Amino acid sequence: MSERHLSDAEHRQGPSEFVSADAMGATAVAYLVTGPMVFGGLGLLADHLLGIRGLVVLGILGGMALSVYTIWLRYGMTGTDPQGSDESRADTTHEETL
Amino acid sequence: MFGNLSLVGYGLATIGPAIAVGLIFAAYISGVARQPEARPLLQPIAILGFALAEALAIFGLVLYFVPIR
Amino acid sequence: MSMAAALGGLATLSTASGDSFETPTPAIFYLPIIGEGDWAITEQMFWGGVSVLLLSLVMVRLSAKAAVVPTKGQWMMEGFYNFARNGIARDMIGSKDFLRFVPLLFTLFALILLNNLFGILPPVMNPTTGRIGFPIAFTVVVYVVYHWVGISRKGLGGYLAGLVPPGLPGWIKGPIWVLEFITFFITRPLTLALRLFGNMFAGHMLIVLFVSAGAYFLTQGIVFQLLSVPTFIMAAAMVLFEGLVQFLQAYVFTLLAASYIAGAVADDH
Repeated sequence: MSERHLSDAEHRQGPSEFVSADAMGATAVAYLVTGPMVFGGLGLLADHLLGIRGLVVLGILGGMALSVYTIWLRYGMTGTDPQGSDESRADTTHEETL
Repeated sequence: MFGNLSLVGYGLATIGPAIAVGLIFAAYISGVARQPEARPLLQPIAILGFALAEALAIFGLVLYFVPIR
Repeated sequence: MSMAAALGGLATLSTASGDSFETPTPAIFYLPIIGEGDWAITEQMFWGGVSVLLLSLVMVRLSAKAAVVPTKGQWMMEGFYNFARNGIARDMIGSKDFLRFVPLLFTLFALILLNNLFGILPPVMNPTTGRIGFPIAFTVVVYVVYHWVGISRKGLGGYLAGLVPPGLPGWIKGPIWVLEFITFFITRPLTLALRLFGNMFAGHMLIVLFVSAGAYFLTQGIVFQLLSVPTFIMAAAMVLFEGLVQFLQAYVFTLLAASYIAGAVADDH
């Protein structure tokens, strides 16, 4: 359990860069899909109930803006390491990595 | 044969973002390869650029599901 | 000439020259042994059971006589175990409370890896995770675990409130909360299951396509028989490439599961 015991070089540096980049991409895409889908869906529902048009577009654009904003909040801060290594986990405040 | 023209449209709409994402990560990789210490600075920029480019592809995906009357 | 007419012309052209080539369809994944329909026992279920038995046997066998000076088998087993324990669980969850989750993550990694590798292992040649049921089952386990851990750690209210990053202006909190809630409870598990399924499904389809096209070319004229050589070379290359993808997807699945658990156990603010 002690850090010294596991001195294999590759085990010290966290998961492989390639794979963790893939994982981060998956999470970013999950955010990107959710925003427009949810708010576009809400807009579509509102359009349907109110008998008007145009709220869908508003919902999709607003949802996308929210998604990009959330990604910026979680990954866009410079200075923090979004890879999620042990050291950065200790001192980041709210970026739950990935 | 099945599907409709929206599907073709979505396929076309993904070409641009695909090229954009490729360019962004190519630039990111060459940047990090030249200056590995610049990684924490470059990574948020690359992720944001990826998100903004990918947003266009997602728009296509969402619009595919929106019924246009 | 319209496009549909042109395509129709192409289709008749290809059927005119003997028996036509049948493109593999998703139906190649449906391999019932006993019964049929939704409740059939399929080949994938059989191989899934075999994978559990095989892994249990090998691991019990190799860990039963654990010695300070390891045998070759024990040494390889330990390397494999350390990869999941340190490379995934400890690095993602943090050294404080990762040990609780090592059994789950190691089991997931070993099981998914073997089930993926069935896609290129000769007696099977069919990734069991290419059926959507398997990724869904793995994802349900991860889903229950990470939400349960998060809720038992912070309480239901605290867990739900903790979805929003702190320090935001009040008016934007509501929409962001909705976005985060849907992402956490629906989109993330969905993408987790779908990316494993999609990779295995598409990879197997590609291999089957190249192999069946090569076999079809062999039955045609001499030009096509020459063409079948690069097709089979391509099929072999795809098998190698799929081996890599199968390993990476098992790795990514476990890594994402670990990172979701890490998000649930992290004591922020």
